[in-house]
Amino acid sequence: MTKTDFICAVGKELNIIDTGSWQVYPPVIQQDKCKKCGMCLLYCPTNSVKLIDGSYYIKLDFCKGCGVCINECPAKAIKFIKEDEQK
Amino acid sequence: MSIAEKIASYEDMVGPGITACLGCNVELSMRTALQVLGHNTIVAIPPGCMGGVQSVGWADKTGMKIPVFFPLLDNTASMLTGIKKYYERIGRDVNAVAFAGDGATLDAGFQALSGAAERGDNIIYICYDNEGYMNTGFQRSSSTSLGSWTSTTPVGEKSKGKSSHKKDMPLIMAAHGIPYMATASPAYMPDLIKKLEKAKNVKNGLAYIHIYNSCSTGWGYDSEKSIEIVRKGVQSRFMPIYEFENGKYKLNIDVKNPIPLKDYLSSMKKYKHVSEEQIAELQEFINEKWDNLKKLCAE
Repeated sequence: MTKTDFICAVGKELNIIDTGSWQVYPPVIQQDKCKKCGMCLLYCPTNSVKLIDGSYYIKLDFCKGCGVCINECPAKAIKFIKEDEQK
Repeated sequence: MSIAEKIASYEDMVGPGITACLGCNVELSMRTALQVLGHNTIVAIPPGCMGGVQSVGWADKTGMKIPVFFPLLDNTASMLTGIKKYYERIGRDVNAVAFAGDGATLDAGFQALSGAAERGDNIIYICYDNEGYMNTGFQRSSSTSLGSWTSTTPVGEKSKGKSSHKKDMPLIMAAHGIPYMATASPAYMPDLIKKLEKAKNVKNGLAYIHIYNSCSTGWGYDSEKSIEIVRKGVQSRFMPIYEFENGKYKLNIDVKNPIPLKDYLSSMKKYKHVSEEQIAELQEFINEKWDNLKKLCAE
């Protein structure tokens, strides 16, 4: 066993559920409106908002589509992309 | 560095996909707490929402990147004490952390927690208070507030929701004379993170953090309002945010002009039936608690 920072060996592997499949509509940050305050990252329950090179992006893999980020965004820069708008 | 950049720099200790409900801010509190506490941590999660969402693992797999175990409802604090004692004996400093719901803290696990606080065991006990047994379908707990609908305090001709007030757990824990006690809310994230960092540095006794959470499924509101509801709770003085450190009380969020209690209550389904008399009684209780707190903080 390799030495790690963890206290003891954790389980064989992580139990991961595909919560991304719960989404009805995917939330997307409109970068031109974003004020880079980071409120979406602070309040995202699934930790799906990522900070990459100073900009915030929503990683949709495990996003449940709850809409907390949309409600909390002070700049109203996040919205659900409905199916007819995806084209 | 802004608070969002700080959080982004921490590693997430919980597995990416756990089955908490949409917009669950208990999930948010747990992720934030373990991000701040870091990987030198052992977590105990008793039965409750966060145990039920498979953060403790399922079928030979784990739900977290750090060691996590599943104690009983009533022995969380004592079991963690034993684990902490073992690590003290072999000379390794670890954070022994409990992340328990209000049922496992205020009702069933109270005796074990009180004992650990009295013995001065060096554990961090975090209670996420969503005012009921949400995991099993919203039965009343001693943290449920007056007038709230629950599945065991129904609303009808004879019964108008819960007939007694919420137990004031933070003050009870402060009265044990522990080195650090704080209440927090996920709507006030910088404050919550500061308190978690303080709790991490307590080495001479038990640190208790009471996080006021909400529950979109049980309380009956749309998932996107999850943070808005707890913010309203703080702004109406329903959830006072304060801390008790080395014998001194300090009010962290002083709500000078509270929003009307009705604004908070009318935003969710569990208070849909609530009468003017019940609101007045609840308001009186909140005012009394707030005045008491003001006096404690002034000393």
